[in-house]
This record gives sequence, C-alpha cells and structure tokens, in this order.
Amino acid sequence: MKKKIALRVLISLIMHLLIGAAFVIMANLLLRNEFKIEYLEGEESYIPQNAFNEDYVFEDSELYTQIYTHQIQDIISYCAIKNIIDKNENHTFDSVNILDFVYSDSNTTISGSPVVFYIDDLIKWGRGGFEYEIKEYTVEEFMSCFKGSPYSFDDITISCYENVNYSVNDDGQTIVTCRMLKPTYSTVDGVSDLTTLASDWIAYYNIQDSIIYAAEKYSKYYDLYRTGIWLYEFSNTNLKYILRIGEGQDQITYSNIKNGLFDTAKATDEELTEIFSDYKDFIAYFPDKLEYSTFSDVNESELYIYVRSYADEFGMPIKFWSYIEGDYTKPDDAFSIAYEATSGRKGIVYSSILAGSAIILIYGLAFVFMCFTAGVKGNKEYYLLPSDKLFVDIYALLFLVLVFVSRYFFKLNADSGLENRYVIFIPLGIFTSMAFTTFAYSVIRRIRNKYYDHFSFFHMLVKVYCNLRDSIENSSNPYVSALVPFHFYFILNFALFVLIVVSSNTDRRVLLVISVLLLIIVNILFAVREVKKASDRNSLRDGIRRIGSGELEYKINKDKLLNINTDTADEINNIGEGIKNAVNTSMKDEKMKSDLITNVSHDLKTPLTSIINYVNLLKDENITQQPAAGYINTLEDKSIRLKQLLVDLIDASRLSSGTTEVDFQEIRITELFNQIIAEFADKLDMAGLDVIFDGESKAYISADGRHMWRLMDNLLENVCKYSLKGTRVYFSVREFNSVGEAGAAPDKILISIKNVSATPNTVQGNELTERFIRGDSSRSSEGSGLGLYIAKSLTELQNGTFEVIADGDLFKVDIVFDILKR
Amino acid sequence: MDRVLVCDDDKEIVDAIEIYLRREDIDVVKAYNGKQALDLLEKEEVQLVLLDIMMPEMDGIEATKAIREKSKIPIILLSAKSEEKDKIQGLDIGADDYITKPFNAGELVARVKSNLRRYTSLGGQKDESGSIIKIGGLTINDENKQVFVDDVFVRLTPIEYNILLFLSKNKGNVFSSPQIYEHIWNEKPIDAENTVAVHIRHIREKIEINPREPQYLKVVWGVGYKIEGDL
Repeated sequence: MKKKIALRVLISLIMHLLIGAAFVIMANLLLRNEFKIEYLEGEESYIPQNAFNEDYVFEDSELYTQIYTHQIQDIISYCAIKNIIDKNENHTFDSVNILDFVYSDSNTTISGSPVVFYIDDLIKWGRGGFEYEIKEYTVEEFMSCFKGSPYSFDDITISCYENVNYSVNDDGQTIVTCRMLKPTYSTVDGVSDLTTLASDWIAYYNIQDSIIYAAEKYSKYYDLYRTGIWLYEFSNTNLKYILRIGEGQDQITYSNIKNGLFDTAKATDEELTEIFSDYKDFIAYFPDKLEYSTFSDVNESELYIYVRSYADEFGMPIKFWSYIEGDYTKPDDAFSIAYEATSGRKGIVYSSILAGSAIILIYGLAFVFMCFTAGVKGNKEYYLLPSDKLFVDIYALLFLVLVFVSRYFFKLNADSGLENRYVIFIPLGIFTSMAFTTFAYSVIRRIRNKYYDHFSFFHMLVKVYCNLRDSIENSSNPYVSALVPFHFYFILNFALFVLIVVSSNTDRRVLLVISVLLLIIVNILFAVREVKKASDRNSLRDGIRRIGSGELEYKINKDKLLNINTDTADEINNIGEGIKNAVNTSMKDEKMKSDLITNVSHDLKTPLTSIINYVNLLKDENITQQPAAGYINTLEDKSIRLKQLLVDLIDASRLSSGTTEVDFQEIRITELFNQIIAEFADKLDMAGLDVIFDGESKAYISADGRHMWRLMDNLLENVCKYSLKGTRVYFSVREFNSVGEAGAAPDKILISIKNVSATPNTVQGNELTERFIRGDSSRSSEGSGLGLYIAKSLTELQNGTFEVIADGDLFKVDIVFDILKR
Repeated sequence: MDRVLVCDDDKEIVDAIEIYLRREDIDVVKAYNGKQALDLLEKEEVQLVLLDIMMPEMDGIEATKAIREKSKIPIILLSAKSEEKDKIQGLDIGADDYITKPFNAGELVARVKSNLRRYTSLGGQKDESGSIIKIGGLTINDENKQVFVDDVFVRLTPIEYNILLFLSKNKGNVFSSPQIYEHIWNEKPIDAENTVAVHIRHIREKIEINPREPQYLKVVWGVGYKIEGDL
C-alpha cells in the first residue's frame, strides 16, 4: 500500500512538472516572439502571424508594409516639427512671436505689440511647468496698471472680467484679486512684466494664455523632435528619405542621407525620383500634385491624411522620396528587428509543437494509469481520502481562483524584463495540473467507492430544495400544500419583476439580463412542473379507471411520476393488489368448498354402493311378506334418490366453483330437440304428457353438446316429475333479432319449455334457480332442488341466458343463445 | 369356469359382487388392496380383474399399470369418481372398462360377462369375410342379417338393422338425423327427423348394457349419431 502511494506521488510529481514544462513551452511560443518597434509616439508590440505560412517572405508581408507606412508617417511628423523648431538644422533656436504662432491658422487680428520669445525659453518653460502668483490691487491700482482699458472699471463691470475676483476689505476698500502667470522667462527684448505689453486686462490675459499654449506645444514638439532625431537621423534606420518643402530659392530639403553620392539639397525633383527609383520599395510622393509612385504596398491615402494634418507646420507644399536598404545593414532598426523576429519562427513552432505533443502524450498515459489506480487498494477493495469528503464544487472554485491568479502571472511576465521570464509559468502549470488531477482522482475515488454524499454542493442545494418542496406539496395540511407553493411562486415572480424594473431604471445591464433570464427560467420550470402534475393526474386517473374496470394486474408506472405522486400511485396499486387478493381468496374458498363437497360425495358413494347392492340382493330374495317387501321398496327408491342427489351435488359445486370445462361445438337446435325428445318419449308417455313442438329453426349455436344434454335432461326430468297428468308440454324455438330492427337477420334463438304444474308454484320463478330451492316449499317430492340451478349454470357457462317464469300453474323456462354465424 | 379377481377395500362391496357373479357361475377371487391383487394374480389363474381405484397400500391405477406390464387380462375399474377425466385416465392406462359407483349390479355383471366373452372367445373368431362386421363385442352378420353383442343374439327390426349397419359401415363418422333418414328411407326427410332419433334409442336399448352410457352407438348431442370406431 505504501509502495503504491509512493509510486502515485512520484508519478503525480512528474506529471505536474511536465505540465509546468508544457506551460513554459506554450508561453514561449505565444509570448517570446512578441517584439516591439519604437515609433515617434511610442512603442508598438507585434506578434508574428506567420508561424505556419510556408511561403512567408518578410518584404511581402503586411507587417513590412505596416512598419513602412508608420515610419513614413513618423518622418512626415518629424520633418514638420523640425521645420518649426530647428529649421536650419544647426541646433540653434529662433525666436518666435507667440501671438503669430498661436493665431497663425486664424484670421484674428492681433491687437497690441508682438510678444517675441526665444523658442528654447518656451521649451524650457513648457518642460519646467508654469507658476502663478496672486496679485491684489485696489481698484485704482488695477485701473492704472491696465490703462487704456476699453472698459470703465467699477464694481459691476469688474465682475465681468475673467479670472478676476474682488472683495471688500476691513477698511471698506474694494480689493481686486488676480491670478497671474509668473514671468519665468522674459521676451527677446528683456521684458518680463507682461502687463506692460498689454493695453488692457483682456489683452494681458490673451498673452498669458498664448504663452502657456506655445510653451506646451514647443516642449512637446521638442520631445518628438528629439525622438525623431534618434530614430531617423542618428540612429540606424534602413529607411532613407528626402523631404522637400517649398519650391525654388526657398526650398528646404530634409534627409537622412548624409554622405551620399549626390547633394540632396541641390538635386532636382526629377533627379531624386530617378535615383530613388533604383532602390527597393521606393516612394516618390508629391501630395499637392497628387503624384505618387511606389514599388511598395504603402497606401497613398493614409499618407495624404498625415500630410494634411501637418500643413500648417510645413506652411508650403512638400515632396517626399524614400526607399529601404534591402540588406538591413543597420541591425537595430525596425525592419531588421521585425525580420529577425519573423524569419526564425518556423523551427521554434515545430519544435514547440513536437515537445508539447510528446508531453501531452506522456501526461495522458500517466493520467490514464493514475485514473485506473485511483482509490484502488486491492482486488475490489477501494479507499477514500479525507479530501474526498469535500464537495467537488470546491475544486471547481479552486480552479476558478487559479484562472484569476494566472492573470496575475501574465501581468508579472509582461512587467518583468528577465531573459528567462517564462519560468514563472512553471508554477502556474504545476498548480493547474494539481487542481485538475486532484479533482479527477477525487471524482474517480468517489465513484469507485460509490460515495456520493458530498458530491456537489450545488446538487445538495437542489436536493434540499426538492425535498422541502415535496414535503410542502405533500403536506397533510391543505393550507400549506396549496398556498405555500402558490405564494412562493407569486412572490418569486414579483421579486424578479421588481428587480427587472429597478435594474432597468438604474441601467445595470448585467443585473437586468440575469433577472430576465431568471424570470424566464423560473416560469418555464414552474410551467413544466404544472404540466407534469396534470399528466400525472391523468395517469393516476387512468390507473384507477383500469383497476376499477377489473384490470387488477394493472400497475401505475411510478418511475414516470413526480415524487409527490408516488405515494398516491402506491395506494392505487395496492387497491388493485387488495382486490386481486380478495378475489383470489374467494375463488380459493369456493374451490375448497367445491373440493370438499366432491370429496365427501365420493366418500359417500362407497357405502351407498353397498346399500344399493344389498337392497338389490334383498329384493332378489323375493320377500313377499308385508310390510318387509314395502320397506325394501322404500329402501331401493331412497338409495337411488340418494345417488342422484350426490351426482347433482357434485355437478352443482363444480359449476359454482367454475371448474367445469366447456368444449364448444356447433350444435343444431332441431337435432338436439329430436334427440332429447326421443330419449324422453317413454317417460313423457308414462307421465301422461302430450308434447307439442312449435317452431322450426335451422340455426346453429355454439355450445357443449354434453352440457346441453345435461341441461335439457334436467329440465325434462322436472317436466315429467312436476307436470299435471294429461296436460300438454310445449316446446318452442324462435329466432329473433336482439336489436329489434325490422327485417334484420336474427342473431338470437329463444328456446321455451312450458308445462302446467301439478301443484301450485309458491316461489317466484327466478328463485327456483337458486340452489336448494324447489317449486314446492314442502320439499315432499323427489329431486335435489339443484336441477334448475344446474340448468341455469350450464346455460350461463355456455354464454346463454336462462329464465324461469312461474305464472300461476304455468311453468315456463326461457333459454336464449346467440345464433352462430356460419 | 371363469374366474374373476375382485378387489375393493370395502369388504361388503366385494362380497356383494361375489354373490352376483356366483349367480352367473363366475368364480371370484377376493382381494382388498392393490398389493394383494397383484400377489393373487401371481398365484391364481383368473380371466378378469375388477379393481377399485381408491384403495390403501396400492391404488387401482398403480395396480392396473403393474398388471398391464405382464398381462392383457381384461381390467374393469370401479370408482366413485364419475368425472369424465377420471374415466379417460383410467382407460388410458390400460383398463378395458370403467364403472362408476354406485353401480347397478345388473350392469356390472353384464359388463363383466361382456368383457369375459370378448377375452375368452375373440381369439378364434377371425372370419372377416366382408359380410361380417365386428366392432368390439358387436358383431353384425350381413348375410343372415343377424346382430350379436358379445355373442348374444340381438333381435332388431329391419329399419333398426339398416341404421346400425349403415353407421357401422361408416364407424367413427357422425351422421345427423336427416342424413340417416335419407340413407335408410331413400327420401327427403320432411317432419320425420324425430323418427330416426326414436329408432336409434331403440337400437341402443337393445345393444347397449346401459343405454344412457352407450358403448357402441353414441349420441353426439345436437349433431347426430355415430358408432364408436376405436373399440
């Protein structure tokens, strides 16, 4: 066991380290080849896109064009600024009338004398920052200071001036408070008090604003200029350019081609174009003439916009030529950096992918092994770790935290200037692997141990909610079971609705979306549940109906029902079971009764056999001596009667217990009657009865011939026994249609037997067919009283109906069978 | 003299049967259970066995099976069980006849004699000359128009004889009254079906031991009549 755990720990360790390595490879692949190119306005980052492009050529790439365009734009900016700050390229600064500078692009007439500063003073001022001083004047002083003010100065107008406050001091004098620029630098003429340059307060303030504007602008220009010099003059750039401002005598030419084969300043435009066109990716651009020729992919319109935005700085039309030195002789310039970064890519990508795949393969195999062995103690023996009692949600949370932490790692990586900065991805990879494997093994151990108690916290919450809901909905208190869910639903909807209104009013979109979604989900869930409840009700009702209609075996399928309905389903299923048991018990009872009767009857038959035979032997003795001879006759009669009684008893009990078998055949009614009447011809004669046969039928019925014989035998025995001597017995057969439609084919056959009783019938007709009841309540004559009962039972056994009508002395039996369709 | 083994656990019944059989000059060997019956059969020579079914030690069914393993001697089962299935079971295991209790002494004797006659005399009479039809114990000699049941002459009227002959020639087949009428009278039956039924009852009364439980001429209720084929 210890060995196993040690092995597991070792493999885990290796796995984690592998993933750490994989992370570093990934980071290296994704991040290391990010390179930066410095432009006038700052750095820009590029990630090579050409990893899988076999036909990649740097000079044809989009990246190349991007850099080229950007650099030309930079040069345009740079030259425009140079034109202002260092027109003569001798690094001496001119002076400038700041009012001209500020208002150069407007037609405002500038009142007052020019305010001329040295440009370097302005740059220094802008860099150093502006200081202000608060000056307090009495009204008189303020007026004298800004003499010639077009405004008459009084308490009212003073409040109209910008940047001027006034207050009344303790002496009752009005004090004017002004915030004024501290004159850190003086003008070319040495004037430092700006008030002397202004005719009035407004003019003063105008000057002050202009100085601030100009100083800020010049200092910014200066910074860009410095960068530009570094990037495109002294520093190594593979981009060569000439930018020419103006025409003829006044034309100024800027270029970074210093010691070339030709004089950049003196060469004509045509010559320049010719020279440049020999080089790679040359551009000759005359924006004002809309002339543009190039071998590169640089877009003219992008340049034009740039030129336009510097129109003021140039003051005159410009012309521009450029080309790129194809061998990138200057190793630190943008093109060579980009070239280096992109050209060596392929090998890194392939080796990274190879290494990554190998790691993933090894990791995967190790992971599969670990999954198979996780939680396995021995053969079919499993173990759990204490950590497996935690909810898996916690692992998920851990994973989320890790994702957040990883963002910090990325940031850390970006900030660090380390050569091997990707090393910090190792812990990230290890943590990820640990979190993932811990989660996976834990889940596997739980499944192996069939331990799901603390599987998911969320799932537990859902379960708790479901249990609570079920117990409320199943509550025996109808107020709780009906009102609580209803109000819960109502309040939930209302709360969500309120939330929607509030969040939409306060413009909290996330909240709004969440609450709308919740509203929809809640209502769908409720609707689904209600529909399920209704369908459950249907299946419950269906179950009750089927069980009620005698399908006692039917069971409502509980699996498809809601939890709250399973109890009801159980109860209903139990009803069916209960009825079935009751029916079975009563069937069994009846069977037992029948068996008892049969067995007793059989046992009775043996002594009866002796009785009958010995009575017979007695008779054979020819005893003529009275009353012994009479006694012997009585014994004979009664023993034979007893025999008949036993036979009837067995038949009756068999019939009532339903153990009589029926062998259905096609029976012709007429044939049957002929046979029976033939059998009884002598008996009827002896009883002095006339038989009248009425009706004719060729109909067949489906019945068991032996049962039909037994049935008729019983009836005719009765007729012979109980009819009044010398009367007529009517047999009739009549076909009829049970629906009663005129002309319809007959579907039933009525067999009637009518006779006149010798003694008055004292019992209702149908009671005669009950067991042990006979027409004469005195029970004096022969017969078991079972005859009619047996006849009726046999009829019903063969799907017929049997009715006895005793009307006065008329005794009538009606038997109806279905006519067999042939 | 014929000897019959009578076996019943009820001594009085055995005694009564003995009395009846001795009157007919049939010797009786008595046993009171199946085992005894089998033992006696080993020792005594008998021509017929009367066996009760419900007996102690070994019942009639077991005894019948045991006897049938060795002998073709006629066996008549006696039983209080009157159900159809009991009779069928009894006949299936090899019994020749089945009499239900309580039985009529006359019927019992008649059946014993019938079986004895058939067992003792059938072997020699093998004159199947076309004009003689034999069905079980029933013999119809068409040459002199005589009918014998177990070698006892039975007097039949010509019509009865013709009906019996017709049914016997087609033994096993069921004929309805009109069919029989047409064959015998050679004319369409009009209101005359009842005639056939009455004639057949008369034939049965003459040839059957118990007309209500006929052996030869059977009533198929609601269908017609037939002579049992497999006797």
